[in-house]
Amino acid sequence: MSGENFAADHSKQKVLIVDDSEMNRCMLADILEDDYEIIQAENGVEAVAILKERHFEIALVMLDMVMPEMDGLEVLEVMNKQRWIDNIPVIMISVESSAGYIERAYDYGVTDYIKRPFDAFSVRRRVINTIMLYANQKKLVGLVADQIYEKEKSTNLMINILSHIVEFRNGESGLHVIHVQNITRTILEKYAEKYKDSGLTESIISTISLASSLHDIGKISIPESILNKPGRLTDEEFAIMKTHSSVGASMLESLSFGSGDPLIKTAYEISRWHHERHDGRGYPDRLEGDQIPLSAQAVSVADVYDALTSERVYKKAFSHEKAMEMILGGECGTFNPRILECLKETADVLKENLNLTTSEHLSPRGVQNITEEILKNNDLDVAGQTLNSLENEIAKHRFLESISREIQFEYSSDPSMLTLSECGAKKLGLTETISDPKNDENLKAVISEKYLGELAEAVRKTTPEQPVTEYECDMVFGGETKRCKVVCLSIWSDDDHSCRDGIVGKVFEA
Amino acid sequence: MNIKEFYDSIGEDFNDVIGRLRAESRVCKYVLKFPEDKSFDNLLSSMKEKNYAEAFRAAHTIKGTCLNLSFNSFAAIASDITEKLRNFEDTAAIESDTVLDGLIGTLSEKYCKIVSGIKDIDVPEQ
Repeated sequence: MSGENFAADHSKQKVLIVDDSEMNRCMLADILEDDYEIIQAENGVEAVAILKERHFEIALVMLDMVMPEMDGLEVLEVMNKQRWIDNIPVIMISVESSAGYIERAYDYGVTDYIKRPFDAFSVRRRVINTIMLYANQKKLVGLVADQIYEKEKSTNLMINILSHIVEFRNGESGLHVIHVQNITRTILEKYAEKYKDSGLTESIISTISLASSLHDIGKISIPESILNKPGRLTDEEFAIMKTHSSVGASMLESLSFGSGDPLIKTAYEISRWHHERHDGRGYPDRLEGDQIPLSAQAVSVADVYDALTSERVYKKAFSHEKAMEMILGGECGTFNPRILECLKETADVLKENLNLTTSEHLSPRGVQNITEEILKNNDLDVAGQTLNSLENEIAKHRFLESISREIQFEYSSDPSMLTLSECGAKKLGLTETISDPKNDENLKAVISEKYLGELAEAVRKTTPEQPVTEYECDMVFGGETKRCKVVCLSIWSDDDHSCRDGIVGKVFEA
Repeated sequence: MNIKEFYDSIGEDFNDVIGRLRAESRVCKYVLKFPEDKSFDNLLSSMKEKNYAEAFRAAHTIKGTCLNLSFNSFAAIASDITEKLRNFEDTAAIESDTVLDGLIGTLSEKYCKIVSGIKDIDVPEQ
């Protein structure tokens, strides 16, 4: 076994080995057990059971293809459905070399394929490398995810504070905002799952549920006597109450900053139209069907559900079942049938969440989805631009070098290598690249060892403040001895001034 | 006999296996475990019960195990058997396949030779 021991800095990571042959499992375990904790399964069914319980702990799966009960491909199918494949690399181990099999396995997201017979050294190395690769990737994704999470948290905090202030006047517990947020999110997540054409990304769902906190912001303009009246509202009072949606919207519209922001736009939609109804009999604009933005449609259902299931000044809390009955029965107005489907299908979640007092503003799954969206779509602009500029500079330099008829050179010390311009190499009768120039006979024929030594000495004396060397000597090329002048610049790496990164210069015929 | 002599006696390549598994003790360990592997018995009994799907899997497993131990010529026979059983639904073809019978016969012979040879291996001091 090679000396490296990866168990040193983390309690051993776990590798799941799935193979119906005990001998094979044994062999692999033997090869890997110094570095990893081994879990074994003898067929697909066992493997899936283990993954279900411990998928977050498992760093890698070694999967045989041909097994009884449930074969490798079926395991991969499950791993894909459950999205365990996103975080767990799978190395296929098989004798099965029929091309179709391998292709299908790769389609299912397998990372690598190890053939039998096992070579202990290769197997170990490939397992280590694969796990490290995934770890790096996860780390990067984690970094982006952290940033997003922090940003979302603070935005959410501010908005929640604001809406609680508003609600305070209503005499409500402050939980209404949180409930509506959660219910809206639940409905929309189900909607996105069912209707792929909805265009609902995780990012959008987040924005909508956050914006929903502001849906009743207009109530701040309603007199308390109406807001907290325990009895039925008169027609006049009701008319005033109804204005809260348009008032809230105009407040948001009149914001001098951020008016183009998606969050504000969505909040505007929701505030203005969360009392519209599918059949056009809502208020204030009597919008119908899909004229009502999806965000407002979702919030209107959420709002009604929460109003029914909470205690209010004018009514007691109804049970979840009663609320569902009333909504689905059309007693609270007509809603988008698709949304009602989603409501029905998430009924148990909603019922369970009746007791929630915190906002599920962004689940770990949600953060991960947003992160993936960003990584896929963003050009990571700054890095891209820098790279572009660098490439341009290199192209310029190369071109100018190629058209100049001078002898230009570059030298790096590690590895020791001298590079000449095309023209320069031709003139001097040397190759364009010379490795280990100090010991190169052809170079020494052009510039003697003595002179080379003196030049090197002069370069060694350069400092960041005085980086230029000028040195004269004789050189032999083109069949003649010529007096030449070497001018070169020492290049320093920024952080370590004791280390010369390299030298770049020209040779002039004096 | 020692493990290398064993490999010579069954006509298989010890250098191949030691090159991959790196340690003689490891090779010994797995060779000694070989007789415990049920796949061979499994193959014979499934063939008897005409459960060709199971026989296919057994042959496939034998092939893999043998390759790991560098029992290469043994594995080659197992491989041929595996291919013959790949279309295990075609029971008529399998039942009338005399070549397959021959292969299984040869496999059994070799298996017995290997298993009895293993009994004679001197286990090195650990």
